[in-house]
Amino acid sequence: MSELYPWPGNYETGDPESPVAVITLSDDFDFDREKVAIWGPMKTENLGIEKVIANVLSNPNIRFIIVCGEEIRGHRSGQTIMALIENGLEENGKIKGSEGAVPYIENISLEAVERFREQVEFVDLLGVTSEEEIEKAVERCIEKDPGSFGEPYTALKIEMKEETVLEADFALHSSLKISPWGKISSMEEK
Amino acid sequence: MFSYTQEQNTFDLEGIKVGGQPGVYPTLMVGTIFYEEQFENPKKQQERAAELIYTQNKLSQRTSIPSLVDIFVYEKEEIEWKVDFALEHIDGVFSLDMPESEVRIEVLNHLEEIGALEKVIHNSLNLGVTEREIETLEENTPKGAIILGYNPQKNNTQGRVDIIKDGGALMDKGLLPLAEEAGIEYLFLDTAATPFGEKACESLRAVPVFKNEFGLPTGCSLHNTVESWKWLDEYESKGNIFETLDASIDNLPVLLGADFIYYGPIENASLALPNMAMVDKLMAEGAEDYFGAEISEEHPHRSL
Repeated sequence: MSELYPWPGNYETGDPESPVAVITLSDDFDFDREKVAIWGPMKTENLGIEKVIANVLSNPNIRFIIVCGEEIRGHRSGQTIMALIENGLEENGKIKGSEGAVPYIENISLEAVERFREQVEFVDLLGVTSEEEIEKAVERCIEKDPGSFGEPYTALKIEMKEETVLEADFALHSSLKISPWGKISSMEEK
Repeated sequence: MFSYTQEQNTFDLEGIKVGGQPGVYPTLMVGTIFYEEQFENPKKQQERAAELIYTQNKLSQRTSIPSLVDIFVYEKEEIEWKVDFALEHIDGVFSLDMPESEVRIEVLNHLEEIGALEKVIHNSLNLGVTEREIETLEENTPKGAIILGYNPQKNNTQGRVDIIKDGGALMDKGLLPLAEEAGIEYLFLDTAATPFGEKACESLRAVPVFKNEFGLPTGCSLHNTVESWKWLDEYESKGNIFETLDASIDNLPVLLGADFIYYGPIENASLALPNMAMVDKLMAEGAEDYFGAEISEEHPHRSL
């Protein structure tokens, strides 16, 4: 069985059978564990969104993401995740239609992003901080639950291919040479 | 500890010299004001903000560690009063920290209107730059810019070099040629702090690589790495752990030759500046004794 919520982050979990996840952005709300599968803040418009994608994909019962709380100023992470679900990615990984500072998805595959976009629908409560109002939205999502999306999907983190060289003939970095006298120069310099 | 064979450029920010060989000039410390949650009502607490700037200035005089103020501007509505505040309370150059491209564009236009482009370091020129921002930078050119080596597609040191040099796989042109073509005079390279688990150490490794590759003043803001460390939220004996670790982590890039540090909230000046004076004294002694470097006149090496 695949692991539930495999990417570490700042979140709380409830009933994994629930179809609802809640992103509280810069706020800190608490929810009924029987009604919400996972919730927590989301600060950044790149790494933060990647964690949400990976963890939501690990639970196919999640079909709705409620985006609520005060927006993260500068990053605009709330607007950005909704833009991602609505528009997807440009070729270089930039989130189409995002107003965030550096809205790029680079550590997770396009396949995973596309599956995420198919699996979930967002509920736009951006700026809403009334817990009562958010709870009502949770209830509405539960009523509309279309059922599981299928098998859990494990989104692997894309790691750059880098070789670890334990007996490297350089210190600090392969482009730098440090002389015994502490002079730093480029490796190719004599 | 080290010196570079590549020529190291220095810039003179109205009397503050930044850059050069490690140990020669004291590290420029930049304290940020108007962060989210720093004040309950920033617009109404400008007096308090001015006091913090005054304190940082006094500490600079006391320690011979130069400092600048970095003002956070989140939204267009804040531009006018924050720039007015800066011009009223800051003598000389200041940095404007603006995460959103649209805000950066409006700020540049506003600075042009009031004739203050010469006072400002544009923080930052980064991957999020838009065509419109590039055009605006060419027309309304600020005196300086922080050029951010953040590369989410390849976040090792080489990727950080690429985004600055030629744009890597994400941009058609590097951020440095963009800044040079716009005519920005003071070019500061930021190695881009990343959280633990996201190649955090590469922001350190990139310091000597940037200095060797570009010969420009290089620095970073590693307090962001401290703040993203979740374990600290759970740590039982918090006290002033964040302030202490922020100051402590800033020592590492300076050992490798960093020229400037964005040290985080300006309230931390009373810890951050004496801490850097201590580090700079060590670095200066090493550079003088070992490399025969001539240490600058205004330096804690001489005054403290």
